[in-house]
Amino acid sequence: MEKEDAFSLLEEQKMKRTVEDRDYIIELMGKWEREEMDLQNKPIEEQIEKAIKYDEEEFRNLVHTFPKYYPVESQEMVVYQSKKLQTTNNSSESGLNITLKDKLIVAGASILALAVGLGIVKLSSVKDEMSMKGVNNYKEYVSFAKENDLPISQEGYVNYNYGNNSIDLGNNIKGGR
Amino acid sequence: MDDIIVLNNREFLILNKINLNGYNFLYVIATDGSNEFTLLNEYEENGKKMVKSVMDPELIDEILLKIKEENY
Repeated sequence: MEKEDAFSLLEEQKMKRTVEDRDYIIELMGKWEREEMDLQNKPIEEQIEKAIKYDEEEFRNLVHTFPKYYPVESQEMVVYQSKKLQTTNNSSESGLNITLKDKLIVAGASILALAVGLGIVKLSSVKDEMSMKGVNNYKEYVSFAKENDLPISQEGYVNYNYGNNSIDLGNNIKGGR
Repeated sequence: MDDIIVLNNREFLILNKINLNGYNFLYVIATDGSNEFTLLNEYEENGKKMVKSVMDPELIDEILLKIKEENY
C-alpha cells in the first residue's frame, strides 16, 4: 500500500474511531510514544495504528473538539425563556449582531450534519448485517469492514458484534468491551 | 427569547422541537461550549412533564434525519 493510500484511509479511520472508540483511544494515547513510521510491508491495521501514533497531536485536537452525546436520566422538564443568550455583541466595527444563540445553532447544525453524515447512529443495522453475513470472528470482520467502509479495529468488531448501545458517540464504549 | 432547558443543573438551548409518531422530541445543545448535545423524549408522569434522553440507536437515527430534513 502506498503511503498516501494509508493516510487517506487513516483520515476515514480517524473520524470513525473518534466516534466509536474515542474513550479507548484517549486511554491509549497516554501510552503512545512517537516513533518513525514504517508503512511498508505491514498489515493495514498496523499501518493505521502507527499513522495514528505519528499524527497524535492532530488527532488529539480532533478528539477534543468532537461533539459528545450527553445522555440524561428521566427528570422533570424545567424550561424557561431567557434573554441572556440574546445579549448581542454589538460590534461598532463590523456592525454585526452575533448572538450566542446564533453560534450554538451553527454548532448544532454541525453536530447534526456530522452525526447523520458519518452514520454514527446506524450501529444496530451494522450488527444485523453482520449477523446476516455470518461474521463470527475478527478475521471475518476485517473483510466485512473493508467491504462496508467500517473501522478496521478490534474495538470496532467488539462494538458492532456485541453492541453496547453505542449511540452515545463514545461515552459508553467501554461497556461493550 | 430563547427556550432553555435545565438538565442536571446545566443549561441547554432548545434548537428543535419535533413530533414523531405522536411523541415530542427536543434537540438540545449545552450552552457552556462543551459541544455536548442530546435528544430528549418528552412525556408525562403523574401529571408532570418529564424528559429523558433517547437511547435507542434507530430512534435517534430517525429523529436526526427528520430534523435534518426540516432544517435543510
